[in-house]
Amino acid sequence: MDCFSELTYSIYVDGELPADERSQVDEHLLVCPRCRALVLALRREASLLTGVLQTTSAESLETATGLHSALGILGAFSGMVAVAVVVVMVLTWVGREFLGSTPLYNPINRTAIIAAFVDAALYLANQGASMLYSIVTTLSVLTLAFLVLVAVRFALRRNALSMGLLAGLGLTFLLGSPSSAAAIERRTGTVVTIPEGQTVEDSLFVAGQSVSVNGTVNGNAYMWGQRIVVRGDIKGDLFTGNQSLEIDGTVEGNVYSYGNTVVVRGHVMRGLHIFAADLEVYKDGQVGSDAVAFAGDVRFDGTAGRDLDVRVGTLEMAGHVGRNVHARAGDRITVFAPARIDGNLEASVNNATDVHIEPGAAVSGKKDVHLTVKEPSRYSQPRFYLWQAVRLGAALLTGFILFLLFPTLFAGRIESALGTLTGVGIGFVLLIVPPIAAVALGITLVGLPLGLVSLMAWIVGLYLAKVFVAATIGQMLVPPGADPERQNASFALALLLGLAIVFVAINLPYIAWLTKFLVLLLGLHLLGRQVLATWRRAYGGRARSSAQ
Amino acid sequence: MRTGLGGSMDEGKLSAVLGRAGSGDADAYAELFREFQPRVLALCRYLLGSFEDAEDAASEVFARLPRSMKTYDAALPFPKWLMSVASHHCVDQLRRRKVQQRIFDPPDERTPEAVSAETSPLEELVSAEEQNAVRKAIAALPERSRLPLVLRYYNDLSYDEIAATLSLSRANVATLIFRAKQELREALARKEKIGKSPKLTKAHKGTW
Repeated sequence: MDCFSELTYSIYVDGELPADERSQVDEHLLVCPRCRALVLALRREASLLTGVLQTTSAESLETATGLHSALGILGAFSGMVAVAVVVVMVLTWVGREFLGSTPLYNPINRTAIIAAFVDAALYLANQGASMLYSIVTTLSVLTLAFLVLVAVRFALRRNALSMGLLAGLGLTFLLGSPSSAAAIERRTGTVVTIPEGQTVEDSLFVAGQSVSVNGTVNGNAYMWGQRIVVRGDIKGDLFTGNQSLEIDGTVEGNVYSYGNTVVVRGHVMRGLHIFAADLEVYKDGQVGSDAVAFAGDVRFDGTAGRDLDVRVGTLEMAGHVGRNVHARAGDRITVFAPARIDGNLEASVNNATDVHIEPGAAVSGKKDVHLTVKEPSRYSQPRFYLWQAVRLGAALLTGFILFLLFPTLFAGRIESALGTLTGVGIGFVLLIVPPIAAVALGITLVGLPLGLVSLMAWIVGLYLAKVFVAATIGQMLVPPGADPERQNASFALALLLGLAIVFVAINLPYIAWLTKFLVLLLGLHLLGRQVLATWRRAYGGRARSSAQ
Repeated sequence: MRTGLGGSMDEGKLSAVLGRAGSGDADAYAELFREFQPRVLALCRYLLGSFEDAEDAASEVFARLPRSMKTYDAALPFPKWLMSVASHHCVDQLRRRKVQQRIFDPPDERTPEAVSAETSPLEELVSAEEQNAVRKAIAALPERSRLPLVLRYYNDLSYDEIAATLSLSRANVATLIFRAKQELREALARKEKIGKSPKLTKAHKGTW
């Protein structure tokens, strides 16, 4: 009898041959050792397949696709990087070609930045006070209601605690009532006026749309409003947040103002500190001490007893400065004819032609003009990309070697947005505390080596922070497979991907400082947590085994 | 870790849980999920070929379980029944993916013998590494041979049951399974040839 086909034997082994065929096969197998061997092999194969398939955990199949999709992600990411590079180059070009001449839209222009800050602050200035007020009121009402409930509950028990609570409640009412604020005046409303002849005995707090001080304030004045006019006399300091501030009267202390426009026609006996879009000090305006301004445009025709120190877009002055003038101007500095500077004039500008001193203006000291050299954008230099690539390579190597040495260090994951936020907070602590602790240790002679070591560890940690963030991000995108053979490769890929993302993030124009800082904090947190976990695992294990 | 059809839950406990599930106890379904999800997922992964799709399919199978429990015949072992529900679901998914209704062209009956001369049945494999290689080779098989193979050796379905699941004739199922095994042998033989030559490559493969 002829041998059966292998297909038939396969069906036979699977137990699926009809009874009559099966007995024929059985008969044949008795006489044919070759077919017996084949059937035996097929049986082994079937049991092997069953065994292999049924011991499968789903994860062991994941690696191939994981790696595959990782390559896909890498491709997509390269595309994103290319797009980002093009965007940055276009932005740089547009910025150079057009924005220099249209300051309003140039994000680096100081005037525009100040205007934006002021606009943002104005919203708070106009709405913020009432908003804050209503929030505070609501909160205090809620707190009171809570206290009342708790007090009533405890009052039924009549113990010491309830008495204490009731006392606290009474105190709160007392403090909350207007009579307790006798020392300080608070005023709110759309229009607030301190009329001529009226005297506020102590400090004055005002929030209003339009605020006028025509009388006298014996303490400090804190004012928040759209338009603030001082015609009277403020004996203390003046603090304002405003759209416009006009000082026509006298401030005997310092002035600190954050606002859109500030006009000084009156007398500030001590310093003038201004953060504003525009500052004008008129001919009659007097500043007893220093005048310091961070502003878009400054016109200074009045008198400053000591220095005039400004960082501005443009500075025009025709006034009298008792000592030096320090001015850093984005656009230009003009000193008009009757101006008198008793000290030096130090000017920092972009071009030598940006400083104008009229012949009639007198500068007693030196005239220094510093030119701020504008560096070409680093994004336009190939060297920058080369160095970034070198740094990325170094970080990759460092991370990979660390992974080979201490794989558990990289097991950290960021679980949630909240976790990230907490991580940033903990990272901040890790950034601040170790150097302080190291210095504290270093003060004692015994602790000196320890302090040095911990300082070194901290510095290394600062470098490793971004590697850890990169590894974490990378491993979120390319989850490590269960296959131990591919572990290293998949980690290397994840690290590369993460590093690429981190490097792009910490080199973004304008926000690089922020992303760098966040990466540092998050990295320190991840590093700290994993070091702690690794140590705990090692130490905890030993402790347990020694206990047995 | 064995995740075969015999579960870690013993018979008595399983039937108790099934009883609770039958009366609509949500906790019972959670227990069933914990017990059988890995196996269902692995099956779906084998059948569908993609991990994402498998996860979707597995969670859908469990989401529909309260409804499909009504068709459960207590005479059948529950794991086997659940696996057949899952494989039906996967096959449906695959059908929906294809434009035409039939995923399987009936295999060409004339040629199966041609390949057999070159390859012999796989001998017993010992190491986990080799088992892994087999798993990967199975995952890489084309759908038409992978499905019957998996249903036969993972799900322990009979030829008739596979035929019903895949809408094929019994003879087609036999041929497809036979073919699948041959393709598997060929794939592994190829891999062996590549992997064997220099010992170094094998040792250092994992590093990068």
